[in-house]
Amino acid sequence: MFYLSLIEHTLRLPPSLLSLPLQDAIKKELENIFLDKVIASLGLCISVYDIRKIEGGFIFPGDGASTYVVEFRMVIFRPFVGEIIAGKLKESNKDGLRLSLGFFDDIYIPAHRLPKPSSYEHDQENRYQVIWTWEYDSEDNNKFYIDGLDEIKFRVDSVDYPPVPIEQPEKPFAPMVITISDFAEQMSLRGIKFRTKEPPQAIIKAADGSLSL
Amino acid sequence: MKIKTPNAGALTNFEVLDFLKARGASKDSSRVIAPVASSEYKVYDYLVETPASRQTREQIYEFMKKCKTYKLAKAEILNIINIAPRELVEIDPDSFNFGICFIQCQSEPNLAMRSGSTVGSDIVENGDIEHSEMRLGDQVEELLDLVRNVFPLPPADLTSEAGMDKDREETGNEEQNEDMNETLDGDQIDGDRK
Repeated sequence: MFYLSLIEHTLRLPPSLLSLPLQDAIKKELENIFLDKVIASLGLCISVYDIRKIEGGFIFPGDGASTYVVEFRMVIFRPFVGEIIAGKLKESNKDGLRLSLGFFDDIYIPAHRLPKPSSYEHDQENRYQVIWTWEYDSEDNNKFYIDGLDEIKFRVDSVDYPPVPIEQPEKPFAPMVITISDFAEQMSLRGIKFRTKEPPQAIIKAADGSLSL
Repeated sequence: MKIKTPNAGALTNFEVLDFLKARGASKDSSRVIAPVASSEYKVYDYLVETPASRQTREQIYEFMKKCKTYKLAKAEILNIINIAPRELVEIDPDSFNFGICFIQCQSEPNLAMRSGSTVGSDIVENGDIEHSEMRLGDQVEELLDLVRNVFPLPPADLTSEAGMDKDREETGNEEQNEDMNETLDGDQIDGDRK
């Protein structure tokens, strides 16, 4: 799930940070720039792991702040192909489910990717939500309700990075696409575990770090 | 910005959790004071609910040593460490049926990749149970036992698991000794724990 990446960046240290020791100031500035952002072909930046080299410190003419060339390692979230990740159900409507990882909120599973056969019925409490049911067997006692108590494990199939569009599309743009190939739900409360095979589906990561389909 | 090494080493969930803890992340009210950003806290909150929160470095080293006999790929070992599967159904989709895409892992602080060996870009087909049976056969049970032995559950989880479903294959005993290598059959009941 997590990788380390070595990145080199030229950054301008704003004068407001001059009171801090250099390392702390640079780390703060790096966090401001990189944290919680998606870098294309790399993934979501979680945290600055360590700073390896600081060079430069030159001041451009007319500028009030110094510029450093910093080499540092960063913890990146990028699931690899075949990884199993567990997420919680966030929302479910007739188009499908939406999962959350806490730091990622927009993992959508379209309706046709749910284990077959499935059906849904409208939720009495929330207007636009539905409750999905997987009819494992045709008997009534083998119906599994996909409700908010269960953790859903899914498997990553591939990772793509679509190019940034020039105009703003209607949905939030996703610079990273994660395709899922397996969907297994863990009914831990009832002590039953089952899994199914699903054809690939797409998950898209938006610029603010959210995943959507 | 220049990306010098896109993959300087994979990290297990435990390592990331450890790193965040070392920075000062915790569950209690000292949250606001610690130098940990709120987005990092979200990752911390997520990881604390995974098996990684109960693991220790020694357990992971031990697991790495002992799983060499099963000839698992690096990605599979990483998956197992992160998920700590306790049931057969978790191992199977989990470990054996995926395409592996990350290659070399060499950095020092990286526990899971300490042996430094290279993983070729093997692509294993998305098959079904047949594949794991082909590759491991009976060893799947041993592997499961190894996982249970090396990553034991804390007592609170044990009692709730024992109560739930008597047909499970768990022993669930936290005090399990390492030389217990018997394969458990499906109908073992946990009533005799010490």
